[in-house]
Amino acid sequence: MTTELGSGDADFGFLVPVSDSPTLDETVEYAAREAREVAAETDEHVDLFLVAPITPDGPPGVTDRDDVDHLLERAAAVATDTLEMTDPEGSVDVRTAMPELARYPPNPVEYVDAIVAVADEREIETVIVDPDHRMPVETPIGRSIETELRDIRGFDLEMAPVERPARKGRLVTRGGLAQFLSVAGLSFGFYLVLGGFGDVMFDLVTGGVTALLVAGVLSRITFEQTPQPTRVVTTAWRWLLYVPYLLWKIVTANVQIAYVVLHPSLPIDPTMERFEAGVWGGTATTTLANSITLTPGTLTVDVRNREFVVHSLTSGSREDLLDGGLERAVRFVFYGRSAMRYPSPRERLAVNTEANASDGGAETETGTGNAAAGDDDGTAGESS
Amino acid sequence: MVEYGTVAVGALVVSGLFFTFVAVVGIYRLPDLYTRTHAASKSDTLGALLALAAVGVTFGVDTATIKVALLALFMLITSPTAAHAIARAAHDQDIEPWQRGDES
Amino acid sequence: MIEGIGIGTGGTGSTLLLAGAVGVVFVSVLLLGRVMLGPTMQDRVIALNVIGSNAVIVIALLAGAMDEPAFLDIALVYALLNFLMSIAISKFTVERGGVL
Repeated sequence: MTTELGSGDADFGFLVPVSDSPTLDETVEYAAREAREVAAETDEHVDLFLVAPITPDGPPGVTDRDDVDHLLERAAAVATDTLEMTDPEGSVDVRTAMPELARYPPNPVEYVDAIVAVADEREIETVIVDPDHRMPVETPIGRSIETELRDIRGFDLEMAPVERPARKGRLVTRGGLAQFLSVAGLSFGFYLVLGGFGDVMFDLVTGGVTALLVAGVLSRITFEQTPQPTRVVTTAWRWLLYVPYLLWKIVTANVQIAYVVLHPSLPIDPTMERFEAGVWGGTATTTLANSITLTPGTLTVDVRNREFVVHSLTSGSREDLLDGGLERAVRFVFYGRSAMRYPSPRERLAVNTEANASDGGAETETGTGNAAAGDDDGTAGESS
Repeated sequence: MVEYGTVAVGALVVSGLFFTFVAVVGIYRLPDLYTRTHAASKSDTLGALLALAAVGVTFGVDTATIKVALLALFMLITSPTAAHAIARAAHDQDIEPWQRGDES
Repeated sequence: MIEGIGIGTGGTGSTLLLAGAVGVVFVSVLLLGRVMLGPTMQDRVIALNVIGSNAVIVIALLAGAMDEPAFLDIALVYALLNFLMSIAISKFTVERGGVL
């Protein structure tokens, strides 16, 4: 690592993304020692950047400026303490940065963008990541800040060797009465359905005990956010609209597949497509990915943050995918009616269309959504 | 009433069987793993849904029908997820998709 | 339920369901060819996954044909296992380069 840094730059830099995690102090200590070592080896001045993006418009208590400020101060104090013991000449400077994110809720890509911007400004190439780093945003399945930084942005990335108390965070959310009751209710209902309604008293009692046990063990990892009754109801209502649409799409898909498969000359033209989906968050991404798999000639192969890799069987299905009818439907389910006005993947990719508009399906706004939309109600992502 | 039910069951079973059959033919005929996954995930899901619908109709209004619905919902969620997992495993191992032009 | 194990309801409906089950079994047996042919591990997994789904369908159809709602629980568990099989094998092939 040190050799790669040994180019002729005047200043070397290390960057540490800071979040509230149990292993933050250890990470900062490690980064400080690394920075000091490089400074000693190369006789150069080294900057140690502690970076924590904030969202000014966020609801209070989530990513407050004060909270983050406090967190950075603490981290800086740890770094300075570590350096004082080992670095009397003061060849390492500890700096902090609080880049502002445009809107709340930020998506993971924007979050990493903000960190990368700081790094680029100072030409920093080495990032030291806390293994338990937590982005203040929902992340889709299994992709973390380290994947994003190393594999996609190409940073020289190091994981701080910390002793982790347990694999906390990520999976475990704050428990609460709402979570507990929802899980208990759901498992109770499930129990009754499976058990039938034979011996009512017995079922109720055993079901109740089981439900409480399940809720006690699992209520903390079941939900991404605290369920709010009003939200649940509106989302459930939208789901009711979405499911028939999806079923219809599934039937069309299958007729198409049946035609292709049974056709003597097997008229297929498979390709891999990459596109950035207009949804984020675990459930929404999963829904879109699964819906894509189930519908006309398309199959989700890989998902990294918002980047979908989709295998499509025929050119017609490719067109359909880029028209974005499904994506619009999923946006409707999760973000509401206003979010449906969002440029389709085709417009975002600026792919030159062959004006081969296949069937419009059942959605209301089949035509190309207007390209100027994309900034409504804060849920829209960046339009590239 | 009974006749309608029987006709519906028959239609559902036959169409379900048809799509299951399409899935199998697809898995044999299509040239590579990704395209086979298409056939497997889509046709087989619909085949399963139709067959389960037939079973649901047979049971009529009953707790068993709720179970059938649960089963259908479960397959609707797991089957594309499994297909995705398999395709992604292949993709991670850098298995190249077949394209028009290369034979076999 | 009415006549114990046999084809309890006996109507045309259950005969249809039974016939469907037979058809699905037949089709699944055909799939074993793909499991043997491969050529990659994933091809086999896909074929096995479909066979598993078909098994679920068969169990459900039999539940309908014989009027045995208890079979549906078995189908549910089978569907769960089938899903886990696909996920587990995919995971192992990615992380270990193979199951065995």
